[in-house]
Amino acid sequence: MTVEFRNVSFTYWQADGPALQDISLHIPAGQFVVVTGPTGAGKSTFLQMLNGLIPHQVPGTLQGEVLISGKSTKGASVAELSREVGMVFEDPDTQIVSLTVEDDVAFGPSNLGFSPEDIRANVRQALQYTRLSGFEGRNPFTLSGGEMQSLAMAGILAMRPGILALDEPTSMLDPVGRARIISILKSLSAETKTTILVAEQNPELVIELADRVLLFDEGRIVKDGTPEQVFGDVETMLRVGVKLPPMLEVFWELHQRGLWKEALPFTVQAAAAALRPRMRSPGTAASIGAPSSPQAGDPIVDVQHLDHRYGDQVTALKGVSARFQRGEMTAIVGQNGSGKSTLAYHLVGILQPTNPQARVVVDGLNVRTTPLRELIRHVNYVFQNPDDQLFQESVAEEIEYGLKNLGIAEEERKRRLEWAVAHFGLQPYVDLPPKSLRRGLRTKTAVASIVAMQPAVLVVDEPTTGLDRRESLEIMQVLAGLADAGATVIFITHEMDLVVQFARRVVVMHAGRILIDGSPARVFSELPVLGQAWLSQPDIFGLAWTLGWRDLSSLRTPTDLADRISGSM
Amino acid sequence: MALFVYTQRNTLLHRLHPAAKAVWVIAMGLILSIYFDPLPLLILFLVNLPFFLLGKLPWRSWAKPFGYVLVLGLIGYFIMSLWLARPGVFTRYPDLVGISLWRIAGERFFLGPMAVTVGGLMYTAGQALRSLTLVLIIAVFVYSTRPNDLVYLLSKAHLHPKLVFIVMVAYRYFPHIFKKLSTVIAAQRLRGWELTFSNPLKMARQFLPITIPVLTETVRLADYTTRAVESRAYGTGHFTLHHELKMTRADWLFSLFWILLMGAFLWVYIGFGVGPL
Repeated sequence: MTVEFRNVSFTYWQADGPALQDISLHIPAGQFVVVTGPTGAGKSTFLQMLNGLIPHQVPGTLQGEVLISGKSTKGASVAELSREVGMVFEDPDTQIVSLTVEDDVAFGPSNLGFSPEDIRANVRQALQYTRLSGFEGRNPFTLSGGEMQSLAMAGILAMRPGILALDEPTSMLDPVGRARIISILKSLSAETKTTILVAEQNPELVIELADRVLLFDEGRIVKDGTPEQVFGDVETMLRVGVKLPPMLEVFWELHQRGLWKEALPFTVQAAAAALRPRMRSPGTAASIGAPSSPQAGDPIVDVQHLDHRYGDQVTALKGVSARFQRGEMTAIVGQNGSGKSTLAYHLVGILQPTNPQARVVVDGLNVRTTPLRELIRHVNYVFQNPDDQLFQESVAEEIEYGLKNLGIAEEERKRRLEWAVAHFGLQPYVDLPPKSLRRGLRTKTAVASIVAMQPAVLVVDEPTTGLDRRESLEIMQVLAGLADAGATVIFITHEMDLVVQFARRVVVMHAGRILIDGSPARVFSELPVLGQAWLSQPDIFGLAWTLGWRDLSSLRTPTDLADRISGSM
Repeated sequence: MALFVYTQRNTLLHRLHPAAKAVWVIAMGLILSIYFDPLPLLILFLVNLPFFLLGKLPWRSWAKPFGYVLVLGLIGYFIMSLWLARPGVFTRYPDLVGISLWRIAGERFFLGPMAVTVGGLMYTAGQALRSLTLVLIIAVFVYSTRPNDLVYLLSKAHLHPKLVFIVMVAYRYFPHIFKKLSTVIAAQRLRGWELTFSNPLKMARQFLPITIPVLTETVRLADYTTRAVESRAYGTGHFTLHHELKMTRADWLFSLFWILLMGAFLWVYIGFGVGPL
């Protein structure tokens, strides 16, 4: 099945400007297309045109024409188009309508009026493709994030569409979930003639599969070509603000220094193969990097023998003990369900230990016995979704809300407000309703409203979810600045490159226990332990390791690795 | 917590045709809406009890939330019953209202007379029994009926697809919204939010930090779900099931039982005036 856009522009209802401008392109059958660009570039709008959600479901003004195998989407309903175009969205939670896996996959074919025999056959095949055979009777909400997104894909595949469009399918998943989805896409691409379009802010995940990359910025396609052509134009990628694959960043640095003239590799394997013949000195296996001593120093958070059970059956934490130092920036990593958030909830008193011998002390206060109102002056927590807390009519009121509740005097409130607004770069938005801002600014507002309360310990749950590279770095730099100023920052994340760049310490959790705790260099050198937690080395460590370097302690960014490589060429 | 969530199990109630269970819900809903007298309501509860047990419900995880609801309901109904101190409120037991156990306020009180009366206590017991029975029936229905079967049934009943969609979304997202509510409450408590008892207007304002994020999430969920289900061909008008759904003799007997029970209670209500207080 083919896709054709003819001079397509679209403006959302009541929007100031167009979300898409004058898009014309042709996608032949069976092509694997990666659609990338920063937040708000028009990627989702582009995909929603394929199955007619725009203009049939989303209000706005559409100019031009979108043709699916020669048929205009204007003349067919979304339901009719769903026979040809399957759409998988970012959040698996909103796509699942039934309460067993089998029923959910059958929902689409049932709506299309397929015969019961055909439905059963399609369900069986879709479950096989998405590796969910054997899960038929399971409640979808007992599945992991990756399995849920696989289920959402199965629900679409069971309708047998010729075109599959996926809008940021991995952005809400942990590394295992991401790997699962990429592996399914790989099989689909290799074994079927399905035309696949994937919108991704982090294109490094799918770049190996792509036949073609469309780079969007401000509603326009600014680059259209093979992955080599699009990613080879690093200056455009950097100007637009798309996250470069780390290997590309390393080799771009080398290229800038005049040390690399050839094509820029994207993957660790390709990078290592390209570098080996050029290296003067082989890597040394000298040291793994200085081991950190997380239990030493002046602990501000002290957790001992912590257990937590949800109900009778689920043990979320088992015997967790950890100390966090004043002014330390720590990343907690691990798969969904490994106990990261449960541990964090105990630090702020949202949850209480379920074993009497557990001890959680923060800034000298016993969390179990200290009233929450007192505790939040010392330790606080920012939820992953900023919309869980934003409700005020302006950013300023949102930031002041917690301060008013704490009874802070007006003069001091104003001073903290000004500081937070300046610190988070929110000056232009201070009088705007937070709900009207894009996700990155909403996240900043949510973090600012907590930071303004000046807790000595700040726990932030996945602060970069849904943000593009530029926004992610801005948030992380603000958090690092707080740690430099003496606050203890603990952040939960699945983004390993951010861990390496910003954390001084990493706590790896698995099945309710701490598997390993140490500096990034040390933790990411323990490959068997990483494997146990279903984690892998960040690419810059991966390349250094493949080249034989075992001392990773000085590596934080691609520039650091480029420095090391420069010295060995 | 599997409250108001379909769970796949092999029980008698799970095997029943959804139409038969719908007859149960409708018949009982009708009777419960007109009966206030605690004695017949107790009989109705006891008649329903075996069916609650046959469903093999997850009582252990349900006990806590149901306990809370029951206690809160009892408190609410008891407070309401304090104003039922005037003769004439009760038609069937006019004398009982006069038996005052504790007089709280007289006619001059600006909210009217308040007292703990035998009639008031009967009202409290009746209302609690009605609510408990109805909530349990709905919970059992939801627990034992596949959402796809419900969509099929409602489509067969020629209900407008938009109405079917509303039922489906409510069925599916009720637990999600509860989870979101608890997250939002935690998020606001961490910013110093507390519920203090004051006048109703102030109390309503205190809930804004909770209701606005929850409502926003509800709207977002509805919007995204609409897009997701439309993308899965919902709204074409024909819905086929991948498994057989036929009314068996057991389904007919089950339906007949509840229709007869409803008839009997209506007859007693109309013929003998039993039901109102």
